[in-house]
Amino acid sequence: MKNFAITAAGLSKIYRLNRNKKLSIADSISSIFSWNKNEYFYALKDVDFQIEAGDSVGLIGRNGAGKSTLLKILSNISPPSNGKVLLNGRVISLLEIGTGFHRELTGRENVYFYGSLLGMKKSEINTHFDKIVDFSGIEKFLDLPLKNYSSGMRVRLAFSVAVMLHTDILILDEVFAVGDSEFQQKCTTAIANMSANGTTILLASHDMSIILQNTNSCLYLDKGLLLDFGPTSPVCSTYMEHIHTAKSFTGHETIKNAVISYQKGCVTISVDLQENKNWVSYPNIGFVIYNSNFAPITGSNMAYEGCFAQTYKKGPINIEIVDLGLANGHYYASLWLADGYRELEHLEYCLNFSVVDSKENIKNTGPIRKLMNFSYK
Amino acid sequence: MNKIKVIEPPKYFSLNLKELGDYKYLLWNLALRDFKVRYVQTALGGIWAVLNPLITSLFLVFIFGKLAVVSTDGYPILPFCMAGMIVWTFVSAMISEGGNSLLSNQQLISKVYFPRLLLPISKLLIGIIDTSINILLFIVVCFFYKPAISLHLIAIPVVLIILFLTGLSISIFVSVLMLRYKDFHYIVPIILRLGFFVCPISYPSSIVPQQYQFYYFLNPLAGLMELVRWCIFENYRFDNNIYVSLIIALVLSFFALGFYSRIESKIVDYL
Repeated sequence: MKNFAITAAGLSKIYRLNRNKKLSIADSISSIFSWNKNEYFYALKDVDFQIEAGDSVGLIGRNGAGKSTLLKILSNISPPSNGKVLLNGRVISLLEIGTGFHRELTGRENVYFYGSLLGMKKSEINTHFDKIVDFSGIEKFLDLPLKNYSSGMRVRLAFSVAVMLHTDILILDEVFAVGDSEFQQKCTTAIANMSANGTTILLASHDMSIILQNTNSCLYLDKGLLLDFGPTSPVCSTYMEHIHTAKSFTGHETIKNAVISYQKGCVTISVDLQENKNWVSYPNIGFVIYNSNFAPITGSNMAYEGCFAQTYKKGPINIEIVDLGLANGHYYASLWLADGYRELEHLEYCLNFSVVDSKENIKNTGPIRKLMNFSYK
Repeated sequence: MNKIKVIEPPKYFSLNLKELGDYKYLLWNLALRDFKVRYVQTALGGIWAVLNPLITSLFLVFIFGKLAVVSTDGYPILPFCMAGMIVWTFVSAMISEGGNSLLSNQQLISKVYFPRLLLPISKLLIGIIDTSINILLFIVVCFFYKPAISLHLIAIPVVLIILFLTGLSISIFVSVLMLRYKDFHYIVPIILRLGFFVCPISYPSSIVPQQYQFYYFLNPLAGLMELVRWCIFENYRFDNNIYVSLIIALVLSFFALGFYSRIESKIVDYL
């Protein structure tokens, strides 16, 4: 029988909602005399699970589902209100990349500091030091102060320390979205290696492709409850079904509604912005289409396709993807909206559609495809 | 077989001193980091550690020795003031630096687990180093002024240990209060400014009228400063009220540890 790595039993975390208001002594004293003013909020409610040693487990859920709270409890940062956690072995948790790095210290000094922060002894860091430096690929800059590093270099250094030190349990929160793709690939490999060597990995992310690539089972949290725990792929599918309005949605901050449709090999996305957003100059709508494993297949945006509008006027922005030659299956699309300067809204996997008639459509396709057509009056 | 760690809701009293030992290396690194960073990009570097208390003491000599002359019970004024300044420099650093230690490391506290007590303790280490520098400076000054040195000097290590404990407990209280109540951002500077005059730094406690002596020594620092002088200078007055100060200092230390163990796990929710 395998050993357990993490066991959580009846885990709850309750926050008092008006705590943040009590910042002055006077408020604190007055609160003694008032009763039942507090509202309570369950960030986690009766969460039970057991993770076996050596497993790679994903943690998914919407924003505010309790992912970070759970990770903070497991990392011993914030205590649970009820329940109990058993951790078998040493835990390294990376809730944020580069915490504790000091810009005035050199890379070398920071490695030792960061290592000690993760609970390492000097001798352990010494043993792994060369591996860490090698993995980060910044040996040339090791004795320069960190303030001279690029942000990418800092991230690589921090990640290298965490991944190269030996640990029994590794907790990662949304830290994959760092570094260039080459480094990301390196991290994936390193994590797979750790996993193969018996390290238990708990990984929280919004990016389903990362979850699918790196984990073999998955926890799905929603509103503080553990909804599902099992093999990654079905849990992810459940999650996607829950969060995504099937073929259209309404009522986001800047994107009022969006509709996706698929007909005879042609994908059409129609996007309407909120009326009060006429200040958006040079509106630029972009999309990415993912396959059912959340791997991106294609994407584009208005500016790239040469469709410019100086201001946003009423009326939908239509995106017509004439022929993608998609195979049968289920697809997701993400949408984003930017103006001339920055991204205004990004909706991950906000739309989905299915393809069932791929054979006929591929037959009809000629040798030259005109792929995309953005139109906006 | 691995060690199994249990995470549970906080108990009423839980102080894990053994764990502090496991984090020795981090403690050392925290102190080292602060020390390295402190004089980065300063032209005089570490000399400031000596220059700072020396300038303050010379200034005190000028004000209280030449302008507003205060009796020092016949002891040379520079060593007299410096003895008080050694204590005050340490305690004020513990209030300001130690008090800020949780606040300025919020990022660390909310993202990584380590015993939070390490932060004030690392400031204590730095305070001890600074105090040692001040003591060396004091010894040099004593060679010039040649005050009569008392045999009580052998008691000075004990006095210093009580001083360090008191400083640590003050910084534990202040650091949590500063985190919890933003009011303390305004209270701390006031305490630092008033404390300088309330404590017997530039004057002996003997100038306080007899009927107020007891109240005067309710301030543990007053007792500690007078005790330091009693250890150093020959025939220095020993006021029995110093015991009051010492008892308060020790009680404060015990309370601080109890308070801390109660509050440690909640600190992150205060951020």
